[in-house]
Amino acid sequence: MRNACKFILALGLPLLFSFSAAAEPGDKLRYLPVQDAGRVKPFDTFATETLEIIYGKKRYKADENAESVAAHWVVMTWMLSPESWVTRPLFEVKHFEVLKNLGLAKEKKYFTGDELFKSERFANVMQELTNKRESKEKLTPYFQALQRLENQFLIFREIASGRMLHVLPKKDSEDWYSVAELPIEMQPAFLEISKNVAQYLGAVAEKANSHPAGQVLDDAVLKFESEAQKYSPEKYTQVEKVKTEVLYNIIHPFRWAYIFYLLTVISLLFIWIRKSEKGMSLVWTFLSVGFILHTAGFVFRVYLAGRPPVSNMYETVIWASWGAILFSVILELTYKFKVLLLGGSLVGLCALVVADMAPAILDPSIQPLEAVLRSNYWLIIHVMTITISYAAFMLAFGLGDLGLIYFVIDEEKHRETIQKLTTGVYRAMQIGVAFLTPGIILGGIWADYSWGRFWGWDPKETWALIVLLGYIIVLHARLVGWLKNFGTLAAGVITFSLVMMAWYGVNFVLGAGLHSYGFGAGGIEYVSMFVLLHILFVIYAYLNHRMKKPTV
Amino acid sequence: MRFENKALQKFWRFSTSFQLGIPILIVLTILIATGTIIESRLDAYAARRYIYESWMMYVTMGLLIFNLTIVMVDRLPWQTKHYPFIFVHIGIITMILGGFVTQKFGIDGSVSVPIKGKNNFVSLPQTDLVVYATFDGDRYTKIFDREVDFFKSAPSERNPYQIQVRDNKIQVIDYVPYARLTKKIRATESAQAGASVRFQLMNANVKQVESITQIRKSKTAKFNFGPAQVFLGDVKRESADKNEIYLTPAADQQLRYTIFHKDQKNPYKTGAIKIGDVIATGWMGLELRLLDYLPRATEEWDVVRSEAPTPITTAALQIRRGSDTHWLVLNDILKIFSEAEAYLITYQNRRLDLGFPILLKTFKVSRYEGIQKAMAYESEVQVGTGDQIQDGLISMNEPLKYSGYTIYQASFQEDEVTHEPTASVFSVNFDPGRWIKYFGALILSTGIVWLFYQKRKRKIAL
Repeated sequence: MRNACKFILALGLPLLFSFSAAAEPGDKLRYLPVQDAGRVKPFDTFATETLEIIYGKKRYKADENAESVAAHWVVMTWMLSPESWVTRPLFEVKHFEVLKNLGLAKEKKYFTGDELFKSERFANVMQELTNKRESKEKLTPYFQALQRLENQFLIFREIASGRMLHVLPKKDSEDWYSVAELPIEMQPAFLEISKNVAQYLGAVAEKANSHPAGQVLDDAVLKFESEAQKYSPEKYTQVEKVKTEVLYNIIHPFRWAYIFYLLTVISLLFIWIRKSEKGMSLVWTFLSVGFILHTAGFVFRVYLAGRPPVSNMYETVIWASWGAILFSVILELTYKFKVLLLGGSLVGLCALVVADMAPAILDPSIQPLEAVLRSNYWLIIHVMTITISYAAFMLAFGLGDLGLIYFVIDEEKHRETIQKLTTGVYRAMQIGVAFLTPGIILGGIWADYSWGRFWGWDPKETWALIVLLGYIIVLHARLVGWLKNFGTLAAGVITFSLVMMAWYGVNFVLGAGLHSYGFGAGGIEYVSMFVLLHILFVIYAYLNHRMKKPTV
Repeated sequence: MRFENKALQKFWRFSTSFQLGIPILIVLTILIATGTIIESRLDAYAARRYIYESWMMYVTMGLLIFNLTIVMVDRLPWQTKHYPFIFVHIGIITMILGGFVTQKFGIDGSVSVPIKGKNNFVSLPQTDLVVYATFDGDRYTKIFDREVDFFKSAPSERNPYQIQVRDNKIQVIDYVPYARLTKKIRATESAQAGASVRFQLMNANVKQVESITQIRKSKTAKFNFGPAQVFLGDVKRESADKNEIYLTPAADQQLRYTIFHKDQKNPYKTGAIKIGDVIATGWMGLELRLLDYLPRATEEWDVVRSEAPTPITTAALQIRRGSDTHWLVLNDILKIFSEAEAYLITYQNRRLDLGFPILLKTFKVSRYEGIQKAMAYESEVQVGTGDQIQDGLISMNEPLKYSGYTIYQASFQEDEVTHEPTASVFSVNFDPGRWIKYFGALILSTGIVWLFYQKRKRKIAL
């Protein structure tokens, strides 16, 4: 009973918190439906994504001590008074060479529009980019950075001119009217929103009571929506989905999920170190809440996108961390080792934190799918099986790391734990292989069905095969006794580098082949560092192991 | 299994052991990983040629099959506990063999069909070098037709590829896999060669330099300037629905011009024009200035070698005849004129006649709302001839099967300006190894499930 109470409390708290946040006057603006990048989304999502492109963050902060401002206010004021923004450091430019060629200070990160776009140097680098594009060669990181700069420039200009914010469905086409092209009868309603945004922000700036102004603004937004509804009744019906999306943005379920995973890890560590027999119910409660929130976030995305969310790096990381938790729970329920659960929740925690922290590399926005991927059936059975196998390998990696730490600490004293972890690593690898093999074969069948060949040595499929070969080598080597406990744990860590290559490397480093829909850029230095550090750690653990036991 | 012969026994032990198996797997892994890096640096074709279809790959695969087989034979007579692993091994061998059958006997090509048009030729990756010759300038006879593969062994000045025709004067002396092309026009002495002009079209809004070169003597060539058309050759007006300017070679120094206006039968103006002259067309203030005129010229490619392929590079050969060299671009024609005869040389992807046409009735692209990104595309086609005609719809993930071939929607071509689709691209494939591979996959999957079930009985990994 007590557990049940805890459970409800834990689940209820974040929801309660988020609903209270949503009820703030002036927030209705966030729910305004807009058409952007191939779908209808709430203004909230549009503004956040746009601010991330230009500023690199979800909220704007004028300086260290200033209070941060939410994206929807920032983007709205770009349109209402762009001139007040050109002197603010708003544009994030990080690439060293780009800064050098623009003649800007390297230690600064944010620049004003005047600093960036008014110089002749800007025209020069843009010409450089145009020339590179005409040669049709692959864009190097420098040119990708220039491309982002061009994007930042265009997006700011288009928003300032009112041409980018599409708020009203056209009667005779799929497109929506932008604010700049609104039909004359709809203009007063939008003007009302603009006016009230200014008044509301004025009230906030003066630290006066902003609630009445917020209320008036809300009314203006609702009035515009109802007029839009009258103007184009059928096409304005997606509003419900848009509301859910704002809720998803506010709740941010994956963040709550990793907070609960963190609690799981902390409480589990406490029990583990104290060798306590009690407290497992608390651990399971935290983990269940985290897992439910994780699943809920996933369900949100399925509903919002209308497809299984496994189509880019961000979505697969979320999905794989979910799988890693699930597998560790299954192994824990089978073996009751506790340490397997610890490894699993650590892996899930880390993956979710990484996904949340790097929006520039792992893009969390919901994007329209490439034509060839528009088959939910195949997406589910091929992509989900492959990525769930990565989840198992990720778990093997986490457990392997833990095991090596025990080896380094004192392998004699922790012999039993090491044996348990080795079992976990071995089983996780087996689970991975059992999903990866059919995943690859199903991929072959899909490729045969839709491209006309079962196997084409495409880099993505080749690397999936390399991962499989890697783990098969390890499993066989263990089977014939070439790998003992240390070797198996080390293999769990090292072989995961192959997964990193297949998962991240093919899309972000090689950038070639037919699986081009998942391509991205950035983060290569972090990933290489991650892989390198682990290899060094394995070498250190090995040397340590050899010194202690010179005979083995 | 045991052998009396010591050496044989030792060899057998080695073959069945992981001392052979694991190195094979490691070599295979390294090979195919290298392949993906080559694909990233160059392209899929290069990766295939250098790695996946190389002797190294065949040897590794051969050794793998050898190892997988011998490990099974070694376990004879088999017991129930052996079956899962035997299934897995047989499954893998079957899939590899299926892949080999596909590679050797399958067909995988592409067909581009214009909207409302038809095509019955599939373009295959193999390349052929074909030479036609003429002595009277009209009738061409094929005098050479060979499959050539220069990708891994390119010809050079020192080691040219000899085209065996007549006096053996034609040689291939260079191969550029990734060539960036520019056009150049050069004067020639050959009596067979056509004329070439370079001119400027200008009015208050437009200022544009263009050139037209006749493929051969007296063969009219055209430049389409939207509402107006410029011709180089004899006046031959087919309809009166366009503004037309004819430039007709008259002598080595000058041409005659004839200007027609839309919907008027008789010429608006005629006269003579030489280099530097400007004529008013009487239409939208447009003037034509003749910048250059060569009475005998050929249009040729100039090639810049690129390190890696891009969407605008293509393969090109350098052909030498006597002291002249010319560039021949993949799927293009090179004309070489001499005093007595002329040659047409083509270097092209092999075209396979399907035996039936693919007719594209309609092609639809649906796009995501408000943007240009394609959401789906589908082609309404008719395939076959006579009473074997079949109608069908081909879309992404939904191919059409006809007479042993499977036709897939691969992509489409669109107008650069309007983004309206102009043609649909299909990949056409015939795969005799398909069922072998599927059968292998089935055996393999069964084996894995079985293996997994068997392993579950043990509690701790040992």
